[in-house]
Amino acid sequence: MEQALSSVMRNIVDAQRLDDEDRNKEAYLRYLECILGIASNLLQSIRDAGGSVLITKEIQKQVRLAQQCIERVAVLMDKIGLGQPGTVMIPSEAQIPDEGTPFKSRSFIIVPPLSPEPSANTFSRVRNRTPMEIAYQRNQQLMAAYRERMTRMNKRDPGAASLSLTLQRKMAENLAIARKQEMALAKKMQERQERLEAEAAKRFTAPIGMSEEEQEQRHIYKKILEYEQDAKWLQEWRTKLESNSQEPELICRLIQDILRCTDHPLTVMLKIYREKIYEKLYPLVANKKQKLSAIIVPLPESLWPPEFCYSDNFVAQKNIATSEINPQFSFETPLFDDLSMSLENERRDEDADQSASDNVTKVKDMTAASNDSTGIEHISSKSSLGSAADLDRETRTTFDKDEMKKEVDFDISENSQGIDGENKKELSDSMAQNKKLSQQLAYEQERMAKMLHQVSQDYEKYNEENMDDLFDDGEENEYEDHEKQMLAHLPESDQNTVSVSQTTIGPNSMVFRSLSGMVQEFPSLPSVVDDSSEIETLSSQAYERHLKNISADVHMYMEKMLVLFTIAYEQLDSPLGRDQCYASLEEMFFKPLWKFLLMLFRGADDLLPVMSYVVVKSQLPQLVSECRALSEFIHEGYLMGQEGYCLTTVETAVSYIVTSDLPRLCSPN
Amino acid sequence: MAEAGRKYNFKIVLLGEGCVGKTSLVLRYVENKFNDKHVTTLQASFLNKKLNVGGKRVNLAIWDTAGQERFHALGPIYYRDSNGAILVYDITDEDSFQKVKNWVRELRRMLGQDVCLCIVGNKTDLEKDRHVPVDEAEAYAGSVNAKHYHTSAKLNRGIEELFLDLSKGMMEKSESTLGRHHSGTGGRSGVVVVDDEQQSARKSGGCCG
Repeated sequence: MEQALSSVMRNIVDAQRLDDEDRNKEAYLRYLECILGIASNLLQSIRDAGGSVLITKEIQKQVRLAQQCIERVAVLMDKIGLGQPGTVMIPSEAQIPDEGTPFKSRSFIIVPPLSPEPSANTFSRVRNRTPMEIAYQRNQQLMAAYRERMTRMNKRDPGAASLSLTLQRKMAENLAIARKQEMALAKKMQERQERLEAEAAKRFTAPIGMSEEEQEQRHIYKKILEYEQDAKWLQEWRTKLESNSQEPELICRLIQDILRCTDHPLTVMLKIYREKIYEKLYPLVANKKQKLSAIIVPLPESLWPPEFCYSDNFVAQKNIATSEINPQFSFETPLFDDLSMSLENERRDEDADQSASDNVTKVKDMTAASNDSTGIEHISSKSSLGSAADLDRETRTTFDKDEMKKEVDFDISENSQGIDGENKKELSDSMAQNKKLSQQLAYEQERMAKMLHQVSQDYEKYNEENMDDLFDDGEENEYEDHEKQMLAHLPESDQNTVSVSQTTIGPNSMVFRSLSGMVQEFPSLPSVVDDSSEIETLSSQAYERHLKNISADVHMYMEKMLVLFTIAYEQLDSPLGRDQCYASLEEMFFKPLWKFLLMLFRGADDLLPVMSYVVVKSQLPQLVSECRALSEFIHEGYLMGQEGYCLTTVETAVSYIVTSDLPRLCSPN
Repeated sequence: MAEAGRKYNFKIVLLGEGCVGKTSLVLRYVENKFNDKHVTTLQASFLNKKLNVGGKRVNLAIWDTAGQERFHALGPIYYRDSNGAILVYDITDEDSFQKVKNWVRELRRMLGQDVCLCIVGNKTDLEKDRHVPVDEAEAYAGSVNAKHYHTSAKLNRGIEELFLDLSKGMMEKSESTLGRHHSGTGGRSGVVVVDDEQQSARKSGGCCG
């Protein structure tokens, strides 16, 4: 007990030292450890006492220490602030389920947080500490000094008591003063709030009859004003802007400064909007991200055409069998492999069963209760995962069966040439085993079919209940999960399926054709046959709709940000100001998103359509002649390089537009 | 002109129907990457490759298409001034081979004999599904004064060789055309041979020769 207490004390001293050095996060952690230590000490003491609760002086002391720790933790928590990188739970790259473990933890798409912006250029307001915090700190310093002296002094020393009294008085004084200061400050703050409120009210009409959006704008305006009270540079900006409101460079710099300031209300809003876009975007590209990361050199064995391994294997077995070195060897090993494979399958089945039934109940719950789109998105992808996993297993089982039959047939023919008693026995044994295995497989298949049916039914029901946007998400994820599953298991799945998927083009057709290929081999799955083509069209439509929604959202958020800026700075409400605003905002808004947006882009094959769109939208009157002049006068070294390539692309786009009906379609008439 | 300081700049265009593996080919060559799962052109469609052929520095600017063939918008501006062209077909797709023939006609018409042509049968890893006979392809290549190659971007076969041979061919061609051009005008020829010292001066000058 004594020992435990002293270790806790040592920890606390350590925490205080960290706290004094303003290493907030470390101190926070250390304090928490202290609390944990104390709690476990107390529990241990109860256990030691045989379950009876005895309150001793020691325990009282420890509880008091824990209390103080908690207080410090609360203070530190405020200091560290909300939502900063490092305080959020970060699912790392490694947690994203990889292709190797398809049956585990692939339940939903984890959206990893956007990478934090380069911190070199950003800054945030330095928050002053409140008087209470200062007082706490001072008291702690006193405490530390006191403790130090106490250790030096003899415990029996009469001076000790008086010293502790002085200390207590001092600490109480400190707190009282701090409290007074805090009250005065609060009063001042309230006054300021009122003043700002009035100012905000002046900017907007009366709070009654305001739309929700206007109220929100007003709220943010108030926050901006409040923020500005503490930041002198912002006030300076305002006066600068007032004196010279039409200078584009000035506007640009102002906006950049504001957006660099990480806790400015406008920056916070921008980040929130960006997060929203990102959350919508990520499920669409998560799959691509994995694919892109799969490009490695040299070509990994798992990507080799599967028929190679298979046929090699087969040929090798044949060679062994025909040379008759050891007939039993070729006889037994494949069967043994099959057996273990099917056993493994079964084990996996059980796991998957469990998770699938879990998913079903979850889907039900979710559809009944929640309107949270992201939640449903995840869950629906879970349910689709279930079905995908089923399908996958089906291919595997059929594969096993086929292979097994082939192998056995082959063995029979091989061995019938030189029959001896032993071989016969082996043969009959293996036949019996084969029968048993097929029975097992049939049973498994039946069970899977049932499960699949149930899952697809649930999924349909869910879709019926949640059409529109939510439906989009679910469809999209389902498609992606299917694809992932398929790709992960191509090498293992049936040969026919592989060749089908290799010769087809385009991710959609590939997945669904291979799916339907499997379904044909496995006729007991009528629900999937009917759905596959429907799902294909629906998912491509949904994908388009989803993309449209995202771009609409981007436009909306940019518009919102612009409105907020013009509210905050009236001077920006001019064509020039708005242009500058847009330009600066776009840079900040898209920078972290670019990586993901580019993944959406299918590659250079989209370059021409995109370029054509840009050319039409830009409405540059002299584009054709400018291109012509460039290509005539540019140095040929450039013409051959990247610059030339860019120029050629623009020219191609222009000539494409000229030769097609695009101008007619895009003209306002 | 000193031989050692010479630097060749060549422009190579990749032509062929969609999905014959143009991008895979060039990505495999330049970055030694192959993505089994990629469906259409994934990365930038312009790539640079520097190599050393017989002690001479060669810079290849490889122009991949940017989906123009889908829109039938692959015009002469795309292959103007190119020194080499790689015409890719898919050995499992007879149609893509017919397209190559069209391209050969087009290039010979626009660029004459100055351009080095390589006809490439890609996807030899799918040999069992071959639909374009080897003899036919090679006979055709011979008839139009082009070289024929077999490649597999997937298994990285024949690609290194293809580009090396093409580079050599283009160097020879540039030597012979340079001989002709030396006496003639300094107008816009397909090949640019730049002396290192001159290059910077020329670039800043930035006007046509």
